[in-house]
Amino acid sequence: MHSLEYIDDYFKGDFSPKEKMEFEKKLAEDPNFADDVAFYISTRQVSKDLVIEEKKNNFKRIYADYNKEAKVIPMRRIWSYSAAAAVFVIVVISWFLFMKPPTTAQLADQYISTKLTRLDLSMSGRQDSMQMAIDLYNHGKFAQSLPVFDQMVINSPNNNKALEFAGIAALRTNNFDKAIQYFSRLESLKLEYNPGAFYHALALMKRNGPGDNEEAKKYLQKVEKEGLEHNEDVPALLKGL
Amino acid sequence: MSSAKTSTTIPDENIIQNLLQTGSARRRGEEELFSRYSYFIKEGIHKYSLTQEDAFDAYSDTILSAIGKIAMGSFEGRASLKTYLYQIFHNKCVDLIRKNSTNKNTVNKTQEVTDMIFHLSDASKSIVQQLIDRADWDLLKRKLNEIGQNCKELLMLSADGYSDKEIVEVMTYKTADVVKTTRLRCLEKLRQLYKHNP
Repeated sequence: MHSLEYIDDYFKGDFSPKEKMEFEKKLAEDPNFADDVAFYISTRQVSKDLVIEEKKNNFKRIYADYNKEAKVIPMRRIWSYSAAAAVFVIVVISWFLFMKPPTTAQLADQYISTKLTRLDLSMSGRQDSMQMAIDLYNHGKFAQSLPVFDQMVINSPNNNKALEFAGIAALRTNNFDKAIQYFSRLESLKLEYNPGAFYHALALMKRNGPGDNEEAKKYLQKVEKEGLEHNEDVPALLKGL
Repeated sequence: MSSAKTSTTIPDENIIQNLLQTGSARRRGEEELFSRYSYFIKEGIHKYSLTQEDAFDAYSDTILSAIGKIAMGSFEGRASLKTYLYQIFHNKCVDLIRKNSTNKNTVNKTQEVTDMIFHLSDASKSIVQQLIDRADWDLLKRKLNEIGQNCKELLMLSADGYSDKEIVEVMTYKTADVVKTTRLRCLEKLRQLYKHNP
């Protein structure tokens, strides 16, 4: 067991550079020791495989239950299908008479009113003025939050969160030109996950000026093609463009 | 067990917090994370034309990969959890499509070696890698199932990234030193079973 403990201590990262060299020297010179190291690593991997297998089986069970719930509901509602069919006919007629497909501005509104109701505090960076502006926004005081975000951008022109939140606050207060400026600046920053292009498209859809929809479509296609932030939300918006 | 419906109401932050815990809280976090975005599986079927089984595998691997990164503190939260997961999922689906579209139908039997081997120098790595390639993985797995439930659970927790100190909280051991001693004893027992396999 002594060699296993020695190997265990090595892989826990407790060794000094000198101790590591001694370990490697022993591994190169002593075949039995090399065998023990190989056994240690192999056991680790096999144990990990068992962990993964167990977790996947648990996931399968969860997914099977999830699908079962989805299937049970229609069976219980068979009695309402005939009523639903009658309602459907009325709805279809009403649609042709009174309803139009949502405009691009309405599509953008739907997204904004469901996905941009709150700004995430965990990404706030814990700066006081940022916290205050986020609190205002999250309490629905968009117009009051905007000047605070504006000042943050003036103080830190390349702060990606300030630009993002300022742009979103501008969007919520229908300052579309300002929102587009902020999102353009955000896009130009080198970030691992950059939502600038997606929000830029959203602002164009809301503004809905001449040529805006075509421009928005290009931005959304870029987001989808390059796998940028929020690319999973693009298909629903592209349908309306 | 969390259903998909209740999981959608749990904020990302809570799920991440649970994943940073140990024991039942972490397990709950894993299930919540899986349930929350399980609709990706249907995306895998419709958007990437994968079979249900492949889409499920891609999604499960995505969640396991994300769990590992979050538990280690590597997820910095610069992107939303959804975007982060979707990018991993997308890459896994694309890999599966490529694998399915080539004529290499043989399942890759090469054992994926844990990152541990990268601790070693290149010279040591090649010595050890040759020995690992000669190991009987199926036998080792069988013996791991034979060493007793306690030992098996201990070795699996350790492989799952739990430190000896964290294992104290999950299992009924008094101190981290006791966990370490027991764990090494289990390893030795496994080694004897493996080497002296009848």
